[in-house]
Amino acid sequence: MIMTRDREKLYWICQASGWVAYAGVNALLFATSNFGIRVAVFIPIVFCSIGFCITHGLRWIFKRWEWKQLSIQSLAPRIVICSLVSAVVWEVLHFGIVSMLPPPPGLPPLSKGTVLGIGFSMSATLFIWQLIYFGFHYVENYRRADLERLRLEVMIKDAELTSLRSQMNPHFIFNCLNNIRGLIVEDPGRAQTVVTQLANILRYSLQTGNANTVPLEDELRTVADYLALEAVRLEDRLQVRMDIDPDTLQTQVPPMLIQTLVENGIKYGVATRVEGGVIHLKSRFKNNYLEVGVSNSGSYDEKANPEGVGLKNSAERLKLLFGDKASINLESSAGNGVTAAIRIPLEAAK
Amino acid sequence: MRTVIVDDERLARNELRRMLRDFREIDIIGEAADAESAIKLIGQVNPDLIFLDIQMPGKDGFELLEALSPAPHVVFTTAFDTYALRAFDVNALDYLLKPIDPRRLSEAVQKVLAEAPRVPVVATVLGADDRVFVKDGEKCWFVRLGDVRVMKSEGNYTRLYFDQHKPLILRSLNQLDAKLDRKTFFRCDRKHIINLKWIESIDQDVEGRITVGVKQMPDVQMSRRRSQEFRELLSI
Repeated sequence: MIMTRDREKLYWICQASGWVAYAGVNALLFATSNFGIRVAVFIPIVFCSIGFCITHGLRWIFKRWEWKQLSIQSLAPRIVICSLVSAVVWEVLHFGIVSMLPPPPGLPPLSKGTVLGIGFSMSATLFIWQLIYFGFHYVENYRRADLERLRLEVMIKDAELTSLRSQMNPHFIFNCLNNIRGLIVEDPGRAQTVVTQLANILRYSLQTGNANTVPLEDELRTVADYLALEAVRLEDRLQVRMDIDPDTLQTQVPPMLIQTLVENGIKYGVATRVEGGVIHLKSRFKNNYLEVGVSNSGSYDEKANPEGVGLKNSAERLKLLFGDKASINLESSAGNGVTAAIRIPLEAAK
Repeated sequence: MRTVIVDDERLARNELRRMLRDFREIDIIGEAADAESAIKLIGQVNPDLIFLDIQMPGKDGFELLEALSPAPHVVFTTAFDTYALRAFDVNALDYLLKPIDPRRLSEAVQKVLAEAPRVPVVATVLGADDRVFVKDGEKCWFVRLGDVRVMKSEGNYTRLYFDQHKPLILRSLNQLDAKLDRKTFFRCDRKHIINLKWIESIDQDVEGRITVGVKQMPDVQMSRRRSQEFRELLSI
């Protein structure tokens, strides 16, 4: 990817060296004729200087009217017309300047044919110049689009990996296993249930690693399993409230997003407090959006809450999937709590 | 060995209790679910050993320990905590990973039993063999008070000088002074308590003021009054 500064430099280098080379070639051609040094050197310099200025002027026109954005069909006729018109201007200027000086000896007078011939070759030069100009930009655009696509893919994979890794949260798993071991003696039936719930969570996080979205229903089922496991650990320190509108259950959401928010809510809002806390899950349609809220009764303390970065990544993930109107924000909720509010536009989610 | 279990998860406490039944020497005299109630309990029953979960709501395990003087023998427990594990390894602390492997538990218990058994202490006096827990960033120690040469006041904190270290402890010098054994520790001026065992030189000037040189520390000159107390202490 070429940065704008370097692009300017590249343009000037190409432009200058191109026209100097062209002048050089012309000079060589004239030198083989016997019109004298003045002709051989002077005329190519005039010729190419004007050409340099005209093409530079064309570039200005392209930039001013953003011709780079045009399709090939609209661009082609424009290029042709430009070539012809600019060729006329070029010829006029060239012969205008040349005629201001005494004609060198031996130079044949200009005939109509010569004028037309020169005009034609000027158009061709200009045409080629424009082809090079636009060609370069097309190739660049193509490369840039490719790069964007790759970046997107990497970002998605990265987000998935992070959420997967956080689900493979060792602390959670080892605490779970320890609790299961305790339950085997104290309440074997419950131990069996807990093992099933843990297995469900692990399976879900492994399988949905590949999917872009899942129905809200599936995500909430895993969240329910997870909350049941945390209840084993936290007992009456954890209270759960669910306000889920049944109509929202089939909406597509990114997997592990709500799960991660619930985890964070417990990690920072419930487990850290001796008296525990409440996790409140809400889901509803509003103004053509799906709104999902994960609240915990902890206080919103910036420093103690490192999920700020994780939240930014989640927001990006949402935007990649559902467009700019999708969002996720942390808001303080009524009664000294924190809510993570997800909003997904419905056209994108169906 | 009088033992207390501290862990915020009831099931984890039960698990450990169940496993400790195999050890006749271990006598579980209490449990606590968070740091505050643990501090109260430990103050009342004065255990020899505590099993301490690092991750608890409110104060964590380290903060709990810093509030205890003296510090009992401690075996830390954790499910998985990279920060804590690093602290344990760096400072050679005894710890167990949950779910606890019975063999590891047995090793840890044998190790504690093998260490010089603490004389059941009347908790109001801290002697040379008592230990306090000190944490300074990533480093932490169970400092044997007898190894501390000088204690220097720094506002609400006190700096302990032992070996090559000089960490701060969250106690004022007065608080320490009130509990320290007078036979070993002497308050020689407003800002210093010295450990008599580390004195290398004693000088007296014409007015009877004593200057004490403690190993690897700058000399301290005492007022006449203190010098008199010092002489009486040493029966000079």
